[in-house]
Amino acid sequence: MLIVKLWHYFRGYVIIKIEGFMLEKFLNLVASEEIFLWDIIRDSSTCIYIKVGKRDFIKLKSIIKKVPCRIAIIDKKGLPFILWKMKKRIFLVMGASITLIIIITLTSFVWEIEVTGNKKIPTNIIIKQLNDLGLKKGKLKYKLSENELENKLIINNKDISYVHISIKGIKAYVEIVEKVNPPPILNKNIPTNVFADRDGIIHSMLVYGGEAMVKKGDLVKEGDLLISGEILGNENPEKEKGIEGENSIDGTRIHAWGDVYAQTWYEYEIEVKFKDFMANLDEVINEKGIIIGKKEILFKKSKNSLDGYDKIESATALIDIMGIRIPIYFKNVKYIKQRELKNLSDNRIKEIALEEVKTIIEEERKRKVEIRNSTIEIVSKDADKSIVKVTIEALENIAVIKEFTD
Amino acid sequence: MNSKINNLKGGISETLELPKEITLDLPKITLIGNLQLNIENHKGIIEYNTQRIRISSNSGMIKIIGQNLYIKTIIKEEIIITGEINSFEYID
Repeated sequence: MLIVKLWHYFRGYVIIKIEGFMLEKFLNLVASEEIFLWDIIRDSSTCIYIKVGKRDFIKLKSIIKKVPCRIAIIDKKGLPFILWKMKKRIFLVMGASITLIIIITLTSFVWEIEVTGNKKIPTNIIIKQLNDLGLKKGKLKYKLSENELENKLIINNKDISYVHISIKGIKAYVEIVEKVNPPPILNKNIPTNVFADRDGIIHSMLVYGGEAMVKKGDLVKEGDLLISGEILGNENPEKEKGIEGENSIDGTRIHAWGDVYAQTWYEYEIEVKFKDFMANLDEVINEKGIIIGKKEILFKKSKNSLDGYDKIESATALIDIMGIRIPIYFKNVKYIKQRELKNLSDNRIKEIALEEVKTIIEEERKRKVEIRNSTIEIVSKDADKSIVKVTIEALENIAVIKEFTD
Repeated sequence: MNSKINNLKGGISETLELPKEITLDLPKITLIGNLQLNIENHKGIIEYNTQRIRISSNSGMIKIIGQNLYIKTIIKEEIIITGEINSFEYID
């Protein structure tokens, strides 16, 4: 009888306790007055509990005078009583509803845009484009059509192959997958030669076109011809035709290309400064505080002077539910005094030197260089620095394609 | 005289297939398992406690014996008693 219970709840009812004699007579009187009673529970011989509707209770009061009974309200239940209580606390109700409205309105705007997955296209350019398309801070999120934005962004950017925009809470997540461009197509109609761009010993060769001028084990110098595009001597024209076929240009010059792997050497002398490598965490002083908007309140302040300390600040959102953040942050400031290292061990110096040389080579060559062997020698060691000589034996592709100049 | 009218009423309702509880003003008692007892057309409660309930009606007093009895609803025409009902009988 859920319906009946709900009906009573919406109408409001009271639980009353009746004490006295002749309770049965009282019940009969109430029933004859057509007052609806329910859940009549006998507690003891002189006491019963009944439930009666809010309006019927007033009628009940006149009946109770006819019998030797006392009446007491135990509890008031139902919606009318709740509303009545709310009326007494009108400001609480108003405050709660205003808060609710503010939360709903504030969370229906986009406040943050997060772009992920982009490597080549800078984030600010994507955000600017999104702003132009309509997705910007403070925009009502119900008015945005994610699919349309995705399509427009893909059309605007040729380097993007996939975009997914999802708005969760107040944050718009923009997921981007950039296009991986296919390697540039070599125009095989232009006759070329392949030269070496570094000294080395040939380790292996992969000739895709042209005639190899060197062989495995040969020592080559920078600028040496490795693969020739000029067909010297037509001893076997059939074979040449078979290999190159249509690529052969005017019979003698063809497009030569290939990979030539050679063993190369690098020698560097670098300086390792000790003060760049510090030992950490000597002394730590913590400061804590709260950031509200642009204001900062620090709870705990250090008393010492903070000269020679490094300051590390971090702020974490106080409330972060499902990406919904309130701009109140918990601030943590760390002061760390670092101790300078007086001495680095030889092994450590060597490690640092090798790492540095590796980055130098990769920057210089702009190619994948495989280091096969290395010897590291400490030339000199001072109080604050050390000079290290690094010799590296590497394996790399030294082929460079060049067009005929004449 | 009264019994003559009642007999007539009984005869009429028999022939016209009218419900007797209305024509003869008798209680209609419905027992659902031993859980609930509905008495329509009652004439008031005489005694009420958790073990025993007595209700007056036109055909005599109805006595209900059971455990944890309680009156779920009471209105002018109907009374609903729930609990574990063991027996009910007419007492003159």
